[in-house]
Amino acid sequence: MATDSDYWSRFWRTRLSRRRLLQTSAVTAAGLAAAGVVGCGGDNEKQGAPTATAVSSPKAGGTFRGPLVGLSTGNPPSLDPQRQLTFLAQIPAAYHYSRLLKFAPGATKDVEGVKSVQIDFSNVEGDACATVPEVVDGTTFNFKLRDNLKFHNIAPVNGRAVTADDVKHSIDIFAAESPNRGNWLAQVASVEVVDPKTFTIKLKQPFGPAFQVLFANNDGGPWVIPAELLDNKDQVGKQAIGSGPWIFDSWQPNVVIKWRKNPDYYDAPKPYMDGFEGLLTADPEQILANLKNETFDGSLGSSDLWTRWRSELPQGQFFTGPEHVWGGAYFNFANPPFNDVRVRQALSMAIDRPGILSALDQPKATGGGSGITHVSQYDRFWVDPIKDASTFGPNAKYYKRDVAAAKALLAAAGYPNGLDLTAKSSNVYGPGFKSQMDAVASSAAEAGFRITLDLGEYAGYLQTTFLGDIPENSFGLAPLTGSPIDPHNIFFTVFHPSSGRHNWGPKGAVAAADLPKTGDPSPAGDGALIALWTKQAQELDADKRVELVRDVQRTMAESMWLVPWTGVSTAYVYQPWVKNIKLIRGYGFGVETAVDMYLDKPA
Amino acid sequence: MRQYFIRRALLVVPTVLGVTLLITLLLQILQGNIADLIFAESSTYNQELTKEKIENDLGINDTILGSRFLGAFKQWGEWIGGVAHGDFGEYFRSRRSVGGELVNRTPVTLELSGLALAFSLIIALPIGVISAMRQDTMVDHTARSFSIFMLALPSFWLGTMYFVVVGSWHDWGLPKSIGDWLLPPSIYKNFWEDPEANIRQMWAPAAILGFALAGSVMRLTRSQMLEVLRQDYVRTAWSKGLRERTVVVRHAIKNAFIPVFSLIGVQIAILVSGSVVLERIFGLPGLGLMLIEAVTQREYVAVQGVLLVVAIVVVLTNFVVDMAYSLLDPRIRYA
Repeated sequence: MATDSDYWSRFWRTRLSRRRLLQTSAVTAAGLAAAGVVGCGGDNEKQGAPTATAVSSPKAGGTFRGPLVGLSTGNPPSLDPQRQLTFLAQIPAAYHYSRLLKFAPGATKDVEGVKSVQIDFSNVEGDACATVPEVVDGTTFNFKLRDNLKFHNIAPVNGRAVTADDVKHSIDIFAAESPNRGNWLAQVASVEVVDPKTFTIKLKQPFGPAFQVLFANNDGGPWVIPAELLDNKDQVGKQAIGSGPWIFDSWQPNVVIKWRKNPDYYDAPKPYMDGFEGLLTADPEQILANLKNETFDGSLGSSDLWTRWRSELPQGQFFTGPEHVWGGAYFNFANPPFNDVRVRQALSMAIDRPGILSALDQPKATGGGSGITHVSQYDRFWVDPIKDASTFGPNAKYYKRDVAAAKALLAAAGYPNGLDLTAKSSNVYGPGFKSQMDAVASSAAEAGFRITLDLGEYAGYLQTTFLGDIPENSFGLAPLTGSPIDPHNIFFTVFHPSSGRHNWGPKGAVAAADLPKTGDPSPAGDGALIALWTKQAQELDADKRVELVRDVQRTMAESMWLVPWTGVSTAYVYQPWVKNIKLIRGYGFGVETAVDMYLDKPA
Repeated sequence: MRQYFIRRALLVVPTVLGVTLLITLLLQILQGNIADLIFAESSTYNQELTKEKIENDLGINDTILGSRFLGAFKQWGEWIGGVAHGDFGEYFRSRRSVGGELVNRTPVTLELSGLALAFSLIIALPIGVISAMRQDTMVDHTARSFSIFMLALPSFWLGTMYFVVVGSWHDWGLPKSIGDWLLPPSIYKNFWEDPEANIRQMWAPAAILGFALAGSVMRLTRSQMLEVLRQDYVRTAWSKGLRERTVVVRHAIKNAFIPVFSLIGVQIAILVSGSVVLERIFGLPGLGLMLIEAVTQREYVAVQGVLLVVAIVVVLTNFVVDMAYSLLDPRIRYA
């Protein structure tokens, strides 16, 4: 029987040979992590360091230059965030458009000398609106726009004030045309303009994460866009006029997006910098060379590069946090062997998650436990099944590596000699995720899972495996959601049978009225879980909702409708002259972080 | 000759049209389209969204007799009709003009390809000739080994190594000003806008690309020179007591270069369509990057646009090469 060191040796042999050749080629999917860094609990953490690397008096001026997204090209297919959902269209939007609310940075943790920003997405504050709305009876939200909120001084709006009619029109288009409108349609009953600065949004039923998922959402909108632009479909994809902190200047595809400071921003004198140049570059060596030559002010890096960047950029300010891109192994429940829960449980127990984190050379700040459960990136909601097994409960055992138990489960399911399986994924995610896939396959081999990776072309993968079209003796293995801001996003996207794109088979959404389907081997037959998902969504008490989400985790640990892998972390590096860095996960970097940053570069 | 010229010229148009039609049909065979991508990106619970709805919104649901494949003919016909009027269509998502994008990107790729070709010829031709002239000497062995070395080094590795070297320049104690100059500007500038920035950005990828091409050109030059040097007319030239330089330059090189010229013609096509890796590493907004993104995102119209340009370059290059044969070698006559 192979020992742990044996299989990690095999893993490293294959990994290092490739690494030496390519070392650090483009890591497309690392960019899915987008802007911001999240911290995550660890045993030896200490609270206290402020979020920002703050200096008392911000200096005005200068232009920030660095990759817009990091190790993804970042080149948006369109600048219209309302009609294009991809993170590549959302990230630029946060520079020039406003949302109703935005997220406030949480407290930073200092874990073994590395800054790791703890993000609590419950911290929201006004963006287009002056404050969070008044809430009446749990379903009525009274919003008041800022008095000094103006569109950029560009024709045809020429700096006019933003009105409630503008907001309603943006929402109407969002609700009618956005691929991301599902939550909105499911929850929102009406939007009514009261006066030029006031409007009311009524929900169909109480919705616990309303602020996060509906009003502060930077993962699709709604964004406040003037009708003059939003209705001009020939322009809105290639131009941007908003009320955000940065005025869109130009977009040179595959090269750069440039912004300049909005002098009429509601929170003047912010932004402090005169401009922001988001480069649409992806090559890690090019990025590193520019950081070393001080022509870039900062960048996102992938976990592969953590150690090397730390040694080659000793002057850099480094931040880290668990991966915000969530995924793992997913299945078609119509096909063997994964229609048998014992096989899914065995796969989970065969994966050596702490070992993978160690083998992938992860920053210590991840605490060795990121990505293990279905909601692990959310500090408030997460219970670590490894470090806090007693709180998690008996189902924590399904996350703990236990080769003997995994083999026993496989034998009981009728596979005493193990299984030959194909893990289907896409080549688009880059070497960082490929290493993770290799590590999953390597560590599961000891329990009898003989896994071959099949990395297909992206669009073909999306049309088949991603939507649950997975043949016998195969499973999907990939990141599945980009930057969800609440567990609700994961439950109702990846898992819920009524989700238009749930990541399991058989393909196709099941009407909510037909749920649960008794005897169905998929989540559609899991009535208790579906009820729990709905209950957490409608719970308005934040603490009670946390407990309900934790119950969801405990329930899903046993059913293993999807076997989460180990989330790798991301790393951000900034030059020492970049000050006041308030990092926050998600796609809102332009308004939530860049707006506060300033440059104090020695002459 | 004139007849041949006309006949070949007339073939250019149907060849290009045929290529674009073939590409359109092949795109239908690929799994997934832009609707799949948008559908999969829909990251929240959305029962209302369907792939069919997205296709309807984007207007990419053409069918003939209920067949998507046949519908592609209609799609192609509309597109080629637009091209004839100067309209290359728009991106599905951003509604940017594909024609405008081609106008911006074609010069980048042509400049890169042209410089790479120049680099490869500057390296390959003299070495190939000298290698043949000094057959089986140390010079020849060294040159042949060098050509294998050039062929064996992948350009993506050289590109990556370039940034490793430039990034480490200062660490090695070398002058920072030179390291700064060698680091290509991160924002592309065209030659007319900023010549120095353009050259700093272009020379390294062009040299790397040219380096890869030089190996094959050098080897072919050598073998052709050896063959020509054994011809009777060259032996005659030697027997007349002509100097080596005269024999080589006036009598041998011209004929030896005929097949090399063919190879260069083929390489121009490879350069135009094959520089994508270096465009990506060096952040050059050329046709290669445009094509890769368009294929990945199933922006069919942009794919067709890029391939039309590439097809035109390939067909015209071959046309020019064919015509040039008769100029290089008067013995060649076209019936």
